[in-house]
Amino acid sequence: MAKVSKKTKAKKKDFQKVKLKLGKKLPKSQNDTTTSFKSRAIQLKDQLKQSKDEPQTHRKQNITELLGQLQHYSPTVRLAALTGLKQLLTDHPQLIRANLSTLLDRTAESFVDRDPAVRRAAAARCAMSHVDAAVRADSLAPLDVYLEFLPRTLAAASPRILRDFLELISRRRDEKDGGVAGSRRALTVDPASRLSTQRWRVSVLRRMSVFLRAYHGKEATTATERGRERGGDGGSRAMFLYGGAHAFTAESSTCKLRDVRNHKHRNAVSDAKEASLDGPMQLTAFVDTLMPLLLDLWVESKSKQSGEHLPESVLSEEAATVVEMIFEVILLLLQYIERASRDSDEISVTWLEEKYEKELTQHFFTNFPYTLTDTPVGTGKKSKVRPNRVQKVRALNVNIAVATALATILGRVERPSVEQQDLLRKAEQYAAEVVEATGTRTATDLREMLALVAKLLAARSTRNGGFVGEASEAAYKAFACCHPSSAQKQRLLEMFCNVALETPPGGSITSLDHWLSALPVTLVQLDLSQCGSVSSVLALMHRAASQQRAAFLTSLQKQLTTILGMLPGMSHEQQKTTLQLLYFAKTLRKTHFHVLVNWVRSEATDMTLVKYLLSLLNGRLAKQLTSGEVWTEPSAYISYTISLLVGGSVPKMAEQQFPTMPLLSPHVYAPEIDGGSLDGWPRQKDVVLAVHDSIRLLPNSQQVEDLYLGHVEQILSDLSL
Amino acid sequence: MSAPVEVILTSEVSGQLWNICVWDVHSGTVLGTFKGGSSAPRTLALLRGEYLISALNNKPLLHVWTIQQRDQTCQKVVCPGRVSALTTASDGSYCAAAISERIHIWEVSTGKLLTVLSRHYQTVNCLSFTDDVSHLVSGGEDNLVLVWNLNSVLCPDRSTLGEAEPKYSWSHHSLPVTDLYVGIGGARARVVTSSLDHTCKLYELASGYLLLSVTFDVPLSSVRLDPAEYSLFAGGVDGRIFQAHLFTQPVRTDRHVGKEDEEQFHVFTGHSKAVTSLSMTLDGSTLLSGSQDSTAMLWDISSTQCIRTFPHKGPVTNAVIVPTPINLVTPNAKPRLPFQTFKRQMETGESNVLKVCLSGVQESQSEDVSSLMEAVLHRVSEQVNDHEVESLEEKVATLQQEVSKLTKVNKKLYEYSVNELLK
Repeated sequence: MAKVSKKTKAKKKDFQKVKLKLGKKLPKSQNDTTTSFKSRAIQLKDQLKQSKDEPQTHRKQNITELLGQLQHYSPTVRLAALTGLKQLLTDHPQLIRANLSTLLDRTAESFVDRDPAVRRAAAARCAMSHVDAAVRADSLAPLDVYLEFLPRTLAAASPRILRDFLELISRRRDEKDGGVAGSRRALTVDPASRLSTQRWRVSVLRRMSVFLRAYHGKEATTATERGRERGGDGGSRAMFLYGGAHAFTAESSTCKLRDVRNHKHRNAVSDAKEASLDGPMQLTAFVDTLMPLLLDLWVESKSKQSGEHLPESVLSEEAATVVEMIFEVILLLLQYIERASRDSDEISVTWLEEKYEKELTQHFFTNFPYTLTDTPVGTGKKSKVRPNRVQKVRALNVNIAVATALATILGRVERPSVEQQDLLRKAEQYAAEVVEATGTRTATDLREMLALVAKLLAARSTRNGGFVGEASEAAYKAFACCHPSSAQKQRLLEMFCNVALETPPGGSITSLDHWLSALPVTLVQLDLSQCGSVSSVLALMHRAASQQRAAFLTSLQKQLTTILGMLPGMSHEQQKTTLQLLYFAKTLRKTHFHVLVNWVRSEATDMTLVKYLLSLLNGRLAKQLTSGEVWTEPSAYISYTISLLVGGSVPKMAEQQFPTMPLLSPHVYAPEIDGGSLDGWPRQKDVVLAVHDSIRLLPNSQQVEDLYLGHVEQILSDLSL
Repeated sequence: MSAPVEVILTSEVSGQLWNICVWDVHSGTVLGTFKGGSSAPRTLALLRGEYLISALNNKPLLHVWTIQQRDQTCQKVVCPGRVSALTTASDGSYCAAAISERIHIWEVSTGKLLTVLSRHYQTVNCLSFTDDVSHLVSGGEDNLVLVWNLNSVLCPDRSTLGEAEPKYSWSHHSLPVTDLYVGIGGARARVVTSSLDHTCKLYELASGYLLLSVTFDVPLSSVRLDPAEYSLFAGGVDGRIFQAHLFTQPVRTDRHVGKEDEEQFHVFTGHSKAVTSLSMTLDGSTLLSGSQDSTAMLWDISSTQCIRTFPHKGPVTNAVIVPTPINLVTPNAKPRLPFQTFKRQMETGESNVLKVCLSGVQESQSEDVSSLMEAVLHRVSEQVNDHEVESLEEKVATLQQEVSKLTKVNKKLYEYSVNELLK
């Protein structure tokens, strides 16, 4: 075979014929260009929309769309819509108001959503009546939120919510097993529940007490607003109307919601009567339903406790919580009853007392005061976490709550039996003990404690004054050791001064006088920057002064110079009140006037107040003159007015060498007197005019004139020496 | 000459010439004087136009004059202490006097001391009944204004109910209350008070609300509303009298009358010392003011001009305009209102015997109504004798026959209409 050169071979290779075969793929020609191309997809997540007037989420959805999506079949979309709504509403809170009704409608629907994630996301109202226990459990969380922010709105729907509360811990005892008592309810036990029944009930009760408090607050504000409206204040009327409208929208939507649910889940038994607090009849019915439940609850938890072999006055941790909650609710109910009894005669605390006194005494009051068990050491970590102090506070809370209820209920009894008296006595002793240890308490405890003391005082005031003295003595001891500017001290002072001022003067309780005489001392000790407390102490002093309390006046007399020295640091109103004290003070001496003159001369002093002071002293003098009493302080007053007229003190003038004081010539107002500066001139002129007016207005002109002349002569002779 | 519609009563501190003087509003002539002592401020009161009561300035005494016997000596009533304020009910049933911090209420017709109210802490400065005698308002040196419901205060079983409580206790003033005036309208009237703290406060008696507070730049010593309650007059301790309109716009609950807007508020200048009393004629056109500068002045309200000055020997303590008492112009008339000397102590050991005032002038509220009824019934039953009973029984029998006859006729009518007409 002929040898083909390497070169030829390479050439041939280049031009080799491509054999096409049937059934094989057509090879691509060498100059073939691929016309196909690849590209990335452009994803349009949103439509490009420009709407400047409507606020949108970062996904550019506006509120209408989001609300629409809330009804989407897919849980994911619903969840996304809720998150979107949350973002939108936090960014643009003004939207809430505009769309409130639809918003509430829609979000409320999602509380009963099947999907747990959605349910959690819906930050709102309760689905407490849902058949599914898990939904019910979750319902309390959003309720908390509502209670915190919209107590008013919720209060508008009170009857339904209250009924739901009842439904949560109890069920209606059916006719077949309940027999005669048709409206009686029984506590339910849910065996499937994860939480222990006891704890669940307590948590429901806690919510209920918060709710009742919120409702109470709402009623109070509406009442005051109504009052103010009647007072002719246009502004508050508008506010009130707005508040009403607000409540109305919320209520209407809730009602709709609830009605739907009622038809679904229940036979809609019309027991609205059972759970409303508005009229006396309804309130009675509600209390009648609730009280047995509370008692049952206690009996159950006690039976549990009795397994632990403890004496009855010692409570376990859990039992203490139960008692605390029960009494919180009872106290709130008592408040309701008290208020209702003010409006109508159909209901009163006496009614409650007659009906439940025996049971309450049997279960609670006999064992008062309670102590808590030390948590058993063996239970592990928990016992270490809980320090002893916390326990003490808890015990205190429980005891205070029980004692307050006791005082409220038994305090009204016309002729208390021996046992009842013993119980009250016990409560009083306890209160006195507690009050004495006040120094260690926190502010909130103190408030509750003082409420208790006030209740006891109210209960006792008609019978004997023994407790008043006891409590006030105990409190005074505590008061003495408090820090001067502490809130406790302030509270105690206010409380007991009010008690003292309400008892008629000349009473036998000397310890109340201590409080009044403590007032000026406290004011002196106070820091003037604490504007609120200074004002309240001043107000109390003013009241005491206008009642001419002897103890107070003596003490004021001692402190008056110091108090007057504090004048420059006070606010306008406070200065005014302090000046008014002068009207009632026993005697004004030269030292007092000396301080006053300095105060008047200071540039910072308001001219209106100077005039006020002058007219006040004038009134004081006129009273003394016309009542025929001896004019006790003429020389002090006259030297005071003269030094005001002169504008500089006598020694100072002597220094500046004005040997012949031209007191009676017009030159007396010459500016040189004030060291040569002209600045004080207009002010001094005002002062002089005011003093002149006040002297002119004094009755008995002749007498006044003689006194002044005598005094001026005296000054002149002093100067010439 | 016909009698004037209204007269002025004034009194002053010195009492040199007379205690109380009666002046004609229009001519300024003296119509009469009442002698004996000198009256204390705010203690002059008329008792149903038949008696004049006033308390002495420096003794624990009340002087009572019968209006028509003006020059004769007066009746003297001894009080437990010096009286600081005195007022009488418009129907002459009660008289209330403040003796330091206590308020004594007497029944005029029997002289019984009905009750002593002691809820003020200091001297009571002013007292006033409402015009329907349902409430008593008192203001004192302790800055308080108390409203008493007379019905509850004068309840005969007071001893079992305990101390009387005021219906309202207004503590808005911060210095002593100097004067108060109760408007027209009984229990729904408005009350205006003035105080040394430069303010006038207007209250509503029905609700107890503070309606308005007007602040002036001087301490106030007297206050008055005009009869129609359009404007408020306040007398200051510097002798000026301010007129504040109550219907100015915008409506505010707190107003200040300063120097700068004196054009809006009329000022009556003329007195040089504190204005102690203000009073108005019924038509609301003239104002009377009494002052410590020993004059009383009569002002024309619309022009704020002084029309007439009544000079006195000492500071004026009372100056009031009252409708002319009829007995003043008919000298022979006798007072119809029985007047007994006021007792100094409350009666203890109530006797069951009731004194019924048959002239019908006096209707005492303190007496037990049920036993009164019994007495009346008893008297009625005595009068009806047996003969009358018989005749009455006959009458009843005939009347019963009549009734049965009428029923029959009615039944027939009914049957006829059912059967015949409605067929």
